[in-house]
Amino acid sequence: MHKVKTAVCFVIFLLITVGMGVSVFFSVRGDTEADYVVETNAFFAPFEFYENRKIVGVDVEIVNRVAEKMNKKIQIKNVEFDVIIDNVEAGRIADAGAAGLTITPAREEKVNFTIPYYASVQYVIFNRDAPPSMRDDHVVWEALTGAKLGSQIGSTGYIFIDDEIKNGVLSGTGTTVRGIDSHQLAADAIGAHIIDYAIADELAAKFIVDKNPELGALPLYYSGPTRAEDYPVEESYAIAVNKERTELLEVFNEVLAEMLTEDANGKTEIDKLVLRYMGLTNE
Amino acid sequence: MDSGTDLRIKNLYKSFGENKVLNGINFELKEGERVVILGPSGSGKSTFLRCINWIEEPTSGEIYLDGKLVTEKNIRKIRQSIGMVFQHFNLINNLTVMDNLILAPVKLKLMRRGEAEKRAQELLRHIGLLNKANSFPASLSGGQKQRVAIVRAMMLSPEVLLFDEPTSALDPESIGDVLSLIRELAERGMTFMIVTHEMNFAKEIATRIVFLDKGKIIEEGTPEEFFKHPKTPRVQEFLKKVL
Amino acid sequence: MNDFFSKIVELFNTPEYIDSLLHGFWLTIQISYFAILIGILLGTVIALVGAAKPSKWLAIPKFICRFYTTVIRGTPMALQLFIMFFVIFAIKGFPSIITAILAFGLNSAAYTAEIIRGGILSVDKGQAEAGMALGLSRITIFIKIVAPQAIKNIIPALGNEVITVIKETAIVGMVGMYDLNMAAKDIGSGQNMASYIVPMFVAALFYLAIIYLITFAVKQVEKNLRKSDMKAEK
Repeated sequence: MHKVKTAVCFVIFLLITVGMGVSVFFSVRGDTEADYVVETNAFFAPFEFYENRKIVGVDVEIVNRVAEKMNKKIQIKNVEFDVIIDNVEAGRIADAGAAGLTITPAREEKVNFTIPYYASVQYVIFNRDAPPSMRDDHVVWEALTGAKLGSQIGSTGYIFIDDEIKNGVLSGTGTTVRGIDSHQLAADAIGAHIIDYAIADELAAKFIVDKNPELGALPLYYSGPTRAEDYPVEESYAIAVNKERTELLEVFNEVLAEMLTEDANGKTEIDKLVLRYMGLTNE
Repeated sequence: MDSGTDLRIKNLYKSFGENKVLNGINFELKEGERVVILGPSGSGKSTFLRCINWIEEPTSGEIYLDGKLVTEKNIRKIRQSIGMVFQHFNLINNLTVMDNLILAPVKLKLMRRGEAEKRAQELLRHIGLLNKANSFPASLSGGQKQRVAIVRAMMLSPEVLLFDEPTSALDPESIGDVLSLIRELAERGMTFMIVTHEMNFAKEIATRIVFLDKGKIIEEGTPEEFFKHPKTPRVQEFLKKVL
Repeated sequence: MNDFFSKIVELFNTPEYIDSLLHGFWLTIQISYFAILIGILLGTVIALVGAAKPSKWLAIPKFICRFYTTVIRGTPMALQLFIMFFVIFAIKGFPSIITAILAFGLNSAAYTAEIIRGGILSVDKGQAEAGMALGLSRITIFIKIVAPQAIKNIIPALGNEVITVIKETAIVGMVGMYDLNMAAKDIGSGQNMASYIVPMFVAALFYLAIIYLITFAVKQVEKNLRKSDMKAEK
């Protein structure tokens, strides 16, 4: 009796194991067929984000066009944001990175960038009950003195804050910055009183504020000699490509050039895609 | 049947690290003898017994059973001829009483399973524990466990039985039952060596008493000689305390 | 508070969200299942090597096992995962799920080995001595006497290890894999619910459910094994 029970248990165990093995096998096939791997961090709408477990967005469209043009399979892999540049530089597991990456001199030493395809501005996200002091429609760095700031780790927002704290307007003022996993989490951190303000890219900030009525967002500016001469913290996005994949870089640039041609109304395809993926139009 | 010397031990030494527990034991045991080993605690009595069947491996010295030298290679076979009963019974907890009894004979291919079960049942019936055949040791009392342990050792029909303080862990009521069983084995002519503190039983059952102190045999003799006319002062001291 | 509950209702009423959670949950289960399996098999080998009598053949394997367990137990799982993905298996096209399974499996093996070793050592010496006195071989003693009793001691601790592995897999989001935790992040991100709190809470319920089931199963097995320990007769 005891032996029968053990035998039955063992058979059930074998069946389960085989079943799980088969399911793992099927999930493995996607990984092994790609010619190129493009890394992204799918938490940055409208450029890349999850929809029904698929990664979609403006960057995805760009990559798909490139794949078509080259007639190759390109796999888009989701990873943590701050490993993308290093992975692309190493070239062993990634050939390119498409993640709303801003061009910076430091990054340019590690990877090649395509032509820029989007201009963005950094925004400050704050709780409407406790906003920083504002100048009309924007916030300047000085208004953030002494506050607890947060931004996605590895993002340009984080880099800018860090810079200002070390060498710029905020140095010696007791302002602190925390690196957080994602823009969304940074916004949540405001509600949890872990930080006072979050710095995030314009579009990410807009999405967040749209869904969270208790939060507000305004562009972040450097203060100029007069208020009228304040200027925004601007940056340009491009695709990062491993320095040896020159053929990939060429095709990306070709595709981007096409997508940046203005049509009769002065709108580029990129513009239209951004609006579409923000859910603002049906084009 | 060769009724020569059963067991011969030469120059047995055993150390645990720095601690020298046995310091040169020379001993002989003939068939039919019943030797009781006495001595103060720490004198090495249990260690002596446990070295005989290599539960403790001797540091040096030789052990012969029926003229054969005991070595690592043949110890397993030799153990089939030497039975052991432990102070804490050591019945196998995850096996029923019946399985405890038939495990060794069947595994060592000395009996077929049916045979072994029959013999086990006879022995259990003899000690009045047949109704416990399918119970687990946990549901037995100390005295019952020890009697089963003795029967377990007997299943292999050993030449010698070693008892390592068989009643030290029993409550007074159960001691009697166990001693009766040992007495019975004695009457059947079983050869054994017992380490015990039961002086009266020792007097009654022993054919020879051996006194151990600091790992050496310092006196040997018949119960009569030993208890009435102890020769060494150490033994006299000991007897004064225990009797 | 109202807001919280209304968001929970919203989540459960959105089929895509539930779908995402279930898919993430499934990946968590897949990785955990095989990681635990590897952990037990490899852990048993390591434990046996460690518990065996010292001999000259075993000197090097014993050393390797000790070194291995020390390093694995002495470094954070997150670091091990990172090294597996970005150093050891940094091969283009190598399936992530396999790397993850290996990372968690190798990690679990070290802890499981300790559990098993502890279980074996905790069996009363007298049991093995009885086996020796009866002339049984070392292998028979191990299989028939020591192992069954060791298992009784091992099962509760092993259950804990299983639970630990399941929860540990939540860090695979670090390398972008879509497990239960990542599904929660997805649902909570900007263009979905734009708040992590509710999806995280629901994901926690999923973890709780599976872990409760396992705890229950382990308790049943324990009860079954303890049948031979009962002092009273049935």
